[in-house]
Amino acid sequence: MANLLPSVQDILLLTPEIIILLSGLLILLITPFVEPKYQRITPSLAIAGSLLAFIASQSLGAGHRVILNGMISVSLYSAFFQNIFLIVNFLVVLLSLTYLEEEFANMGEYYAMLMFATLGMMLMAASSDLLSIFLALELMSVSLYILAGYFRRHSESNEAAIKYYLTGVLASAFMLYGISLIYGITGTTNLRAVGDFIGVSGSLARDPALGMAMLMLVMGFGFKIAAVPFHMWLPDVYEGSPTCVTAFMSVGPKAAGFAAVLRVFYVGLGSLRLEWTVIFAILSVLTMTTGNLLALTQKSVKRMLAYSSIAHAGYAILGLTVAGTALEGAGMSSLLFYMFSYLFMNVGAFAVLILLRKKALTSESLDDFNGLAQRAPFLAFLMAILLLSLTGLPPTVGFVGKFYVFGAVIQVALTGNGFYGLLAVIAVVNAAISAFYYLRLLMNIYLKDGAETLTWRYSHSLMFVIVFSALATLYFGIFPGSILSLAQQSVKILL
Amino acid sequence: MTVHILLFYFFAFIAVASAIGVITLRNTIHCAVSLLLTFFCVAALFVLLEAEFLAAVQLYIYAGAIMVLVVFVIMLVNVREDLPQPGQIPLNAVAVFVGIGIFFFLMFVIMAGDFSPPRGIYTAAYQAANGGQTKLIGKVLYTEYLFPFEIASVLLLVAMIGGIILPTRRRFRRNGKGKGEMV
Repeated sequence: MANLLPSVQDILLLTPEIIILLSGLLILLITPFVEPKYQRITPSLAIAGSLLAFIASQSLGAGHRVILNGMISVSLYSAFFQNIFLIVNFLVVLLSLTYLEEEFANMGEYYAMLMFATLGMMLMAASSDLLSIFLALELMSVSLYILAGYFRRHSESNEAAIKYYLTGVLASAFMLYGISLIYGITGTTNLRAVGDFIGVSGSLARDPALGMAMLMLVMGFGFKIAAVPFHMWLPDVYEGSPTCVTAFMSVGPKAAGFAAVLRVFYVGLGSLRLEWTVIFAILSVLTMTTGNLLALTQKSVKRMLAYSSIAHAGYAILGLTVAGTALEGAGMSSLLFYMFSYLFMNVGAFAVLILLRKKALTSESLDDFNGLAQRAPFLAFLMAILLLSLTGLPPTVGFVGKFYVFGAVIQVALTGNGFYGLLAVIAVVNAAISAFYYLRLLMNIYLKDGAETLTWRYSHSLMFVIVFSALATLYFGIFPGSILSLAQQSVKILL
Repeated sequence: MTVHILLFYFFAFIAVASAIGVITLRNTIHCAVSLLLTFFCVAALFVLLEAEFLAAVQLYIYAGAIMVLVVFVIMLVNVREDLPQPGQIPLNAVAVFVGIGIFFFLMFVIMAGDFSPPRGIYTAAYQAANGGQTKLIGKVLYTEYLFPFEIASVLLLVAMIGGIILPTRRRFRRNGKGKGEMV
């Protein structure tokens, strides 16, 4: 009980979070005073904040320090995810700039909400206590509900916000119930202490109430990472939200969800790994298959990407199932790498949708991309790279991501676990199904003829995001080594 | 001790009954009063658990502040009666069935569970010797739980801003350069 107030050194470890918080508050503070002709000052502040936080995050060092009475653990693991969030934040601010100006909705509050959502995600990845995980998750979710409903004049956006809010609150209630059961059983919310308490008493791992708590947490987090059967909200929310918000939602909250899931289940509920491995295996099969099959039938590109993002979550859950076996390190690092690889290809694909779109918020159909290669060969080429990466073909980062996740599953299968052999087969079949709809779009772009039905909304910032994403997709596809070893080192603190 | 248990069942029964009233009553004002009764009974349960501070907070914030807001919203929105729409089943039978199923399942699980964590240091004697419950809660909140407290403050700020942005009517106009701005 002696030194309960945080020391200056502890606070300094939170520099990236503090920078994001301060830039969000600063944006809110100056918004009412900014003249309309200087309205780009708020996005500039957001960009400056995320860049500064990124730099600060690099200088934190590799040590693992638990601070603030066990609420936060600053380590390579949290830094890995925080870098993902900060890159997403940076790219999404650039995406939003001209999009919001054209929709006459370029206001400071939007960027402030984006910063607060990022703050929530960063804290989620760094939290090592159920209480701080829950509060950080709520911070992220509430900001996202507001962002989803940001285009108030569009009924689709309102619908998205309401659906997201109601299902999200339900998920939070489940999660909170699970957390309260865990607290009732173990007397603590700290994940390490929970894990130790369950591990020491041999019989507690078979306790029905603890099993119920685990199921509640699976449901709660399942909603957040949109695992089937908790995915019902996702297509409408992704389609109805402003496209820049969809780009943000499809990467950030998912990565944050996985960061927390890995900590909660691996560290806190490690003694129940036999049970949750099976649950996650079933979820991953359902998620991959449902996501891909429904994506096949979509006419709208935005909706297709929404369903495919469900499928991608399914591949990532495969990494979770491996994390519960003897090859835990391989499973977790493959999950981290998958999240990283997913970032660029997905943000890039949504950026293309913002660059080429219809007048209203209505969705661009697959046929609208017919013959794009003749009209805009460079953009078509960039889109081709992103689509190849989403499919998982070399030499892109999507291939490497899938390769390591599937590789980890196959390694477990080779140790004589036939169940994982089946998982690997299902995963590969799913990758083949996904190739069909991604490559169909690619075929429309390159092989079909079509008239110009989309409006071309060129801006430098948008083009920068697309080129940057495509280049990163290629670069990390050819040289994945540095990120991969970083992912492997990051998960060491959990092992 | 038996008085304790009797009182517990008394308040728990009223709490559950009035909570059911909140979702089944037709008149929204009646629902609000039902909710108020639930809050009172939960406060009584906190007293029975010797958590006097929580009971007081429950009354001040839920029965006081939040109820006022609820009544204001009912007055502003002016929905007196939640009439069933044509073709709508008043209480979905499936939902009731599933709800009761989940209730019995949870009851079984919680009865079978092992809720015997190590006790903390905050016994009644410790509280009395160290300045009382309120002081101790304040101490813990601003030391051990300072960080969650701070996140919660940011969370409330975000929720407040959301409450301002989403319902406010705003018009947008174009300025000379074709860029939009808010009026």
